[in-house]
Order: sequence, then C-alpha cells, then structure tokens
Amino acid sequence: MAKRRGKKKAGAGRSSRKEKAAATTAKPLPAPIFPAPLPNHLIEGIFVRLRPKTLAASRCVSPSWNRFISSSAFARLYHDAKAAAATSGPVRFVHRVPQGVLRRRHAVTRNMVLAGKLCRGEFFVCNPSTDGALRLPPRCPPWYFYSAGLGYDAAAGKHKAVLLEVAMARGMPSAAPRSWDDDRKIRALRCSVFTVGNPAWRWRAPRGDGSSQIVFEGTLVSPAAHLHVHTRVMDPVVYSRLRDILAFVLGGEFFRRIPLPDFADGGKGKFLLHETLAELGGRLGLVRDLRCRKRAIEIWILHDAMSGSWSLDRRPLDRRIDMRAHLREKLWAPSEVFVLCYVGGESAGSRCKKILLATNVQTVYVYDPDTDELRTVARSCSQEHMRLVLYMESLAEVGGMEYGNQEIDFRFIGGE
Amino acid sequence: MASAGSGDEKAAAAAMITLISSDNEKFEVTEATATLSQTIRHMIEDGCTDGGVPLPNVTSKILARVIEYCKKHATAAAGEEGSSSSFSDAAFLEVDRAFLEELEEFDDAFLEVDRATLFDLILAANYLDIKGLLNLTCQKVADSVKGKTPEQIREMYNIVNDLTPEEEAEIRRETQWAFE
Repeated sequence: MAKRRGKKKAGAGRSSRKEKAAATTAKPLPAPIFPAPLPNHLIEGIFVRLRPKTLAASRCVSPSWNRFISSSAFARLYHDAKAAAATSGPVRFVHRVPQGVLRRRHAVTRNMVLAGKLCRGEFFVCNPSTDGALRLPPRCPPWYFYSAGLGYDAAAGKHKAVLLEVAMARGMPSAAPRSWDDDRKIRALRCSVFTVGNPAWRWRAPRGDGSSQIVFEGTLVSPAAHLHVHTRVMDPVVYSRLRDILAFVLGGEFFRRIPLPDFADGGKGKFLLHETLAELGGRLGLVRDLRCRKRAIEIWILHDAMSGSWSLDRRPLDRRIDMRAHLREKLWAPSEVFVLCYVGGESAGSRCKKILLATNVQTVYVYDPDTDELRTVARSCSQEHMRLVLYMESLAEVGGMEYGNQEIDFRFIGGE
Repeated sequence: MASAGSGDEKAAAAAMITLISSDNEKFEVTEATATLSQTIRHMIEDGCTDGGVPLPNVTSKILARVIEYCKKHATAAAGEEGSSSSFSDAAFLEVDRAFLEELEEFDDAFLEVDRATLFDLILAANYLDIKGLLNLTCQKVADSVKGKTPEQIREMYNIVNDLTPEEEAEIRRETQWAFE
C-alpha cells in the first residue's frame, strides 16, 4: 500500500503557476492530519474503513480532510478496498429494489445499480450506499422494454447503461402484447447506450455496430467489461434451446458471439433446461439447471471469451451442486434457482468459494461446497418482486444525482 | 520447570526470544508469541535474534502492551490449530466459541486506552507487522469517527477548522444527504 505513492518533486525551473497546477492534478494528495504522525498508508487504511455517509460528513472537518476524501485517488483506493472485501469476505448485505412487473430478473451488481421501474421506462443509476440516484432519460411506450444492464467501461472510466428494446417494424403497437412468452416469434431487439456521467443526457445507438438489430432472449448480466446475453432459438420440438451467448463489449460497443460449451448431452434433451448467466468470480458463468434430469445444477465458467473455452468441474471455481436429500428439500420445490455469485474463500486459491443462490420463492441461500451445507441468508416476506443487490459500500457519485428519492427504495433484507 | 533436566531447560531457552525496547528494557517472550510479528518472524528465519532483537521504534510501555496482545492471540492461534482437526466434535466447537468470545472481550478491554497510546500501538503494529493488531487498532480509530459531527471530530482530534464559512457552506450543500 505504501509503495503506491511516489512523490515527485517539482522541477526547480518551473513557474509557480505550473507547480500549482501539477499539485492539484497529478500529485497524490497528502493524507489528512491526525494529531499523531501516522504514515500516509495508515491514515488511508483508517479512512477506507469509514462508511460513505461518515466520509461525506467528514469533509467538513478541515480543508485537508475535504481534499483527501473528495480526491479521485482516495475514491479509487476506497473502491479497491471494498471490492476486495466484497469478494473475499462473507456476504455483506442484500438489498432489494422493487422491480415493477418484471419477472425473473435477479441480478447481482456492485457499486452502482440500475434501478427503477424499468418496464415503465423509468431508469435510475443508483449508489445504494449513499442513496444517490441519477435519473436517466425516460423511455416510452412501456412495452418496448426488454432488458437492461449496467456495466463499467474501464477504459473510459465510466459506467454505461445498456438497454434492449423490442424493435417494432411498423410503428408503435396499438396495445402491449399479452405476454412475451406466448409469442413464439424470434424477437428483434434494438440496443441503446447511455454513458453515465456524460454531459449529453441521452440514449444513443451503440458506436461499434451499424446493425443494431439483434435477435436474442435473455437478461443483460453485468458488470466487468462485458454485458452478456444469451440467445435462444425457438424450436417447435424443444421449446427453447440455448443457441448462443452474445457479449456486449462495453468499450467498443458491439456484440460478439461466444460459442457454447461442449455439453455432455449435446445441449439436447427432452426437457427444457433453464439456463442463466451470472458473473462468477469475475468471469462469465453459465448455469444449467439440471435438477429434473440429473438432480444437479451445473456451473460452467468461461475462461477465454475470444476462443470460447469453457470448463466444468476441472478447476476449483467450476462445480456442480448435487441435489442430495437435505438440499433437495429446499432447492427442489422452487421452479427456478439462480446462482447469484461466488462469495468468500481466497480469490484464486485452492479453497472452494461459497455460492450465493436465490430462488423464485424469494429466498437467498449460501451454499458451501466444502461442507455441502445450505444456509438461508435472506428471505423476503413480501409478495413483491425483488431484485437482489449485493451491497458494497461505494463513494461513486455522478453529477446530477438526486438524494432522498422516494421512488427508489433499497431495503436491507439480510446479510451475514 | 526448574527441576526439569538441563536438556529440557535448553529447549525451553531456545524457544525464547529477547525483545529490546527503545528505552533499553528487555522482554523475554516465547517464539510462538514473537512470531505473530512478521518482522520478528523474518529475523528469526534469518537467524539474527541472538543477543536480543532491538526495536528502536517501540517504547517499553507500548512493547509491553503489544506483547500482552501477542501472548493472548498466540494461544488463540494454537487453540484453533488444535481444534480444527476435530471440527466435527460438538464439544470442541463449544470450547472454540467460548474461547473466541473471551478473545473478543480481551480485545475490547485491550483497546481501552487513551488516544496517544492507540496511535502508538498502530505505529508499533505497523512496524512489527502484526496484522491482527493493526486491524484492531485502525478499526478502533475509524469507529471513533463513526457517527460524529465534523465539530465533534475536530474537538476529538484537536483539528483547527480553517475552512472559511463559504467553503464549509459549499461542502455542506454538496453533502447535504449525509447530514440528514
């Protein structure tokens, strides 16, 4: 931690004005002063332990505290520390964001969250730890909405919200379709992008791809450098078979095809499989619900997006959850089981990570593959649809954020 | 111990390390206690602990406290190792839990020190590279700031407020949500 700060002395020949400019931009800010001569890295170590709210209020303590807390260097430090704690530590908190009428939209995001009544065309980019919410340009009419996600474009240093809407060829529909699941036609979707923090407050077409009409079904999975969606082909025999996975590359803003893993069953079978995508340990995970066939849930991990190399069971991160008796009791009845993320354990070591699972009956479990133990960490008593957000403290702030917006409600529903 | 054979005495003596504080006070500690400090562990590994380990950055007052912490946590570490082999044993788990509670109580009591001592402990933990102690003490300082108003923090740490009223008003406007 200490090595990060390389202090440069301003050249003797420089003008004082230049020095001043350098001091405000390039040079790391001196840590705020405590009445004890603590080295900078220790003071930083203390400040990263503070909650965002305490930090914000503490900016008023003195100019040095204000400069330090509001510096981008500290924001980066804080983010790294909290991200490390979130992946290596126990499950922190789970919040829920009411989702309107959306079904099956469990997603795990950290830091910044896309929330709101998505199906009503109201979008907010929120930081749940500060309650800050940036309202995005509204979309209408509502039935255009298909799916949306939020990802972080590291190269640009900005979050991008990506929206998929049903493309209507002949103008607007006169009424909302009854249900998308009734509709067996392959749907063409249109993609729009919103760059969070850009002065231009608008949705726009992706830069990378001229043909912005795509055909797929799925939910955008964030965050990392890609947003992922899977495509399905509507097959009259097997109702819906996974055909492809598309990755939306946030940097270049285009879709890229990722080949599927070589499933032992060739991806075919009598029953419709429920397949979902999740970001697991920083990689894309394909979760196959084989409960009805093999009494297991399979997790495939994508190791290389370019070549499409997947693996199962071989590495410590990939695994199967076998439905033994005690698990079956809890995981058999729900029609859908989602893998949310990996938690705990060492980052890349041999220790198995625990798996956070959610069911469509509003319960969240932590499954420990080492001990084969399933523990309830959160349960929603209300009938409302909820969206789970793995909570991570963050200082992330975007110009134009509102605070205390009543429309968005993050509620603490559990944790460890 | 005194009545034991000379061989035993020698073994016991070999496992003892002498720490020398900045004010030249000597502290005899077991190797298990001393090696909670990564700095001392490396010295032992390099074989340069003969004649004692001088710690010019740590006063005897602080070193005594640090050793107190290490002794307690060294036994805790030993206890954990012993119990992990039989983790399925409910009795062992019970003992474990009781021990962890005791350790927590110890830590709480240990942190009941004035602010100057707390900062000295942080510096010593940093210098000696004792992760647990550094964590504990830094968290204590962070907790002291938690939920405090800027005025209270200034008072606590004797910080002079040289923000102009305009600057302060500006920051308050930006961070209004944090004061609600």
